Amino acid sequence: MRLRRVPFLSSPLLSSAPFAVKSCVFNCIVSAQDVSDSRVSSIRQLLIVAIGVATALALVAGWRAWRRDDLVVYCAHDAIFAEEILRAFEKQSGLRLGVRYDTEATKSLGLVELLVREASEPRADVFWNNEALGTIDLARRGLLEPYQGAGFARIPGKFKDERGSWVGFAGRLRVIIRAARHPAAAERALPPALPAEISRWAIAKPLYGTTLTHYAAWWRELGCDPLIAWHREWRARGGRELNGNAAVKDAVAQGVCDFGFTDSDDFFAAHDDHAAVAMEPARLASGRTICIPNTVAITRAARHGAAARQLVDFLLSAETELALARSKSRQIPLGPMSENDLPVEVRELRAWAAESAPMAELAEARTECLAWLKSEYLR
Amino acid sequence: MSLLTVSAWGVLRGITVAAGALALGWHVAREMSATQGRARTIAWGLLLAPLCTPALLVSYAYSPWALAAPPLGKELGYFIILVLRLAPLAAIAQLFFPAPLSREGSFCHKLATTDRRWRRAAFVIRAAGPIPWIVGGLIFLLAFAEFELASLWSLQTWTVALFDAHTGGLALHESLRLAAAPLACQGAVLAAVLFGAGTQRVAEPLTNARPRRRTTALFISLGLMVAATSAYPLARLIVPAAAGFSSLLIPGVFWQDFAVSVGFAALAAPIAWAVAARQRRWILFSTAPGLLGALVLSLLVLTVFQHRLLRALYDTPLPLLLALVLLLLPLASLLRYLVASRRPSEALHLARMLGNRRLLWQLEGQRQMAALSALFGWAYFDFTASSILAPVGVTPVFVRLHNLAHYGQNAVLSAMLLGAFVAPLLAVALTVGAARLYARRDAR
Repeated sequence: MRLRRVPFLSSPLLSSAPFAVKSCVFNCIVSAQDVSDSRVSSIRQLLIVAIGVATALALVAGWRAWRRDDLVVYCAHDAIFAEEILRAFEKQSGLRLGVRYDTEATKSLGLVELLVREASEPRADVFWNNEALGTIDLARRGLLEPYQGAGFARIPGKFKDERGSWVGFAGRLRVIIRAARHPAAAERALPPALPAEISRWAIAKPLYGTTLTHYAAWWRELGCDPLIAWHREWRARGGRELNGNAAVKDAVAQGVCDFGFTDSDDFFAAHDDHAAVAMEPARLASGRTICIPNTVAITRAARHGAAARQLVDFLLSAETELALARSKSRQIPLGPMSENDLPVEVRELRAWAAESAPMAELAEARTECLAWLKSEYLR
Repeated sequence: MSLLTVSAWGVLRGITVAAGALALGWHVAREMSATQGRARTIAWGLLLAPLCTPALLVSYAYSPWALAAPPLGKELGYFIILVLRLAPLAAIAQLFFPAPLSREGSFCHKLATTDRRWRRAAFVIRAAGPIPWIVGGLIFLLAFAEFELASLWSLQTWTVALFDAHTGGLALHESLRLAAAPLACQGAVLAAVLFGAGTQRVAEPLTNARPRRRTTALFISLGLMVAATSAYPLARLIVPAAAGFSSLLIPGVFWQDFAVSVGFAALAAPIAWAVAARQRRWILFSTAPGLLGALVLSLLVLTVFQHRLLRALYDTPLPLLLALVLLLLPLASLLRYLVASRRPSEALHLARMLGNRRLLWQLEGQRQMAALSALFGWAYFDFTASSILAPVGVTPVFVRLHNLAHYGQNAVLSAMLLGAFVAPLLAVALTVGAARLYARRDAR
C-alpha cells in the first residue's frame, strides 16, 4: 500500500476537526487508496496476461504462416538414412519439407496410429514407412490417395498396390544374425520348432515394425494357434525379448546371445563395427524369405498434392534406390538396376529378396496378429 | 506380466526407492549441515550433479550392461540408480526443511527416557514431522512415473506399457482406463503430498550447528552418488566422443536440433518462474499436472490439442511449450519458496534504495539466476514431452539422440551426446558471466 499525498488532508477544515473524525477520514482515504492500488495491480496483471496471450497467438499465427507451404512428411525410416535423401530432394526441388520421425522404441506403428487419429484433418502429405503392412492397413481404411507416377511403373507388382495407393522401394530382409563361431544352417525353420538353447536367442518386441511383419508372416503360414503356443513357450523358456532390432543386434554382437531375429541393415551396422557376426535369411516353413520394402504413399486430402507427387516420384526413382543401396544400411533395390552398380553384399541380398512372399498377402494376417498381440501385451 | 502386476511391482519399487533415497539423503544432509566454507560449496556441487545429469546420458552409459544383465540384476541396477539420482532431493529437503526436533532435543530425550530402542525410534520418526513423508511421497512419484531409463533398458514398467498402448492405437481414454490402477495410485499419493505440503508449518533452518572438521563420510557418500550417476556416464562418453568430435564441426542437423531445444527451454523456464510467482493461492493445484509425470501429462496435452476446438493450435510449438511449463511449475514453485526463504529482506531493501547493482546481484540476482538455470536445464533435457508434442519439422536434440541411442553406442553418437550435454552448460555459464559483468560495472 502506498500513501500518496492528498491535499485534502492538510486543509484547514480537516485540521480543526476532532481526532475521531480525522481518523475516520484518514481510514477512508487509506482504504480508498488500497482499493485503488489493488485495482491498479489487478489491471496490471490483466494487461500482462493479455499481452502474453496476444504474443502467444501472434507467435502461433506467425509459425503457421511460416510453415504453411511446407510439404509434411511422416517418416518411419531411420532418420540417419532418410535425412540425407530428403535433404537431397529439398535441394533438387526447391521445396521445403517438414519431417516428423518416429521414436525407435515404437517405429512405424506410432506414425500409422497417428495418421489414423488425424484422419479427419490430416496433417501429413506423404507417409514414408519403413515397412509395408502398416501402410497397407491405412490403404484399406481409405486414408491414402492412389497415384501412379513415373516411379510406379518401375517397381514389380508384388511390392506395390495395383491402384497405386502405396508403392514399395528399397527393401530389407529379415535375417537371423548369429555369432560368427556358429556355423550357417541350411534350414533353421522357426517356428513351430523351438531351439534347444532358447535363452541364447533374441527377438524384438513383436508389437511394432518389421518384427510385427515377421509375426504376420508366421501367422499366415502356421495359423494362429501354433504361433500363439510358440510365442508363449518362447517367453516361458527364457527366450529374450528386447526393445528393438538394434538391441537384438547388440545382444548378439556383445555375446549376450548367439542368435537373433533382426533386419539386414542392423546386421550391417554390427558388421561395420567389426563385430564377429554373420547372417542368413530368415526363411518361413515354405522356404520363402521375408523382404520388407520401404513404402511411400500420399495421404488422402493432402494439402500439397503436387509437391507430394514430386516427392513420391523422387523416392521411387532409381537414383534414390541406388543411394540407399550404397548407404550403410545396404537397402535392396526393387526396381530394375544394373548389378555392377550395386555393392557386393546387396547383390547377394537381392537374390534372396527375389524369393520373398508378397506383402499384400500378409495384410489380413497382420490385422489378426496385431489384435492378438495387443491383448497379450496391453492387459 | 499384466499391467496390474507390473504396477504392483512399480509400487513396491517406488516405496523401496523412496525409503533408500530418504535414508541416504538424511545421512548426507546431516553431514553437510556440519560443514562450512569451501567443503560445503564443493559438497553442494556434488549434491546437485546427479540432478543435473539427464536420464538419457545415464541410460546410454549403462545400456550395454542392461543388455547383458539378467532380469533380477537389471531390476537391482535400476533401483540403485534411482536411489542415487533421487537422494539429493531428500538431502535438499532435509537441509531446507529440517525436523522440528533438533539433534540436541533428540539426545535429551534419549537421556531422559528408558524406553526400548524401537520406542525411541518411533519417537524420532514422529518428531521428524511430516516433511520426510512429503518428500518420500515426491520421490515415490518420481520413481513410479519414471519412463526414460525403463524404456532404454527394456524394463517392464506401467509407463512403458502405457506408452506402448497409446502408440499401439488405443485412444487416450482407453489407454488411461488400462492404466487406471497405477494412475489412481499416483493420484492418491499426489493428493496426500499436496495436502501435507499445504498444512505444513516449516521450521527455521538450523543456525547453531557446530561445524566439524570431519568430512570423509560425507564425501564418500557424495562421491558414490556422483560416480554412478554423473561421472561414469560422462566418462563413457568422453573417450569415444574424442574420436567422433570432428563430425560436430560440420554444421548440420545436430546444431539445428540443439537450437530448438535451447529455444523451448529458454521460453519455458522464465514463463514457469513468472507463473510460480503469481499463483500463491493456487500453488497446490497448479503444480499437480507437473507431478503426474511427463508421459501422462504429454498424452493429456496431446489429446486436448487434437480436439476440434484447439486443432488450429495442434501443429504449433504451443502444446510442447505448455507441457514444459506445466512440468516445470512444481520445481519453479519449490525454487521460488527456497529463494524467498533465504532472501535477506532488510539488506535487499537497502541495496534497492542505494541502487547498487552489484549488491542486488549478490543478494538476489545470483539466486534467481541459479533457479532459472535449473529450470532451463530441466526443460532442455526433457525427452518424453518433446518426443510426443514437438511440431512437425522440429526435433529437439534429446529426442533425436534418444532414437540414435537405440542403435547402440558409437563414437559419433557419444560425441553428440557430450556436445548436447556440455553446450547448454556453456550457454548458462556465459549468461551468468555476462550478468555478473553487468552488475559489477555499476559497483560503487
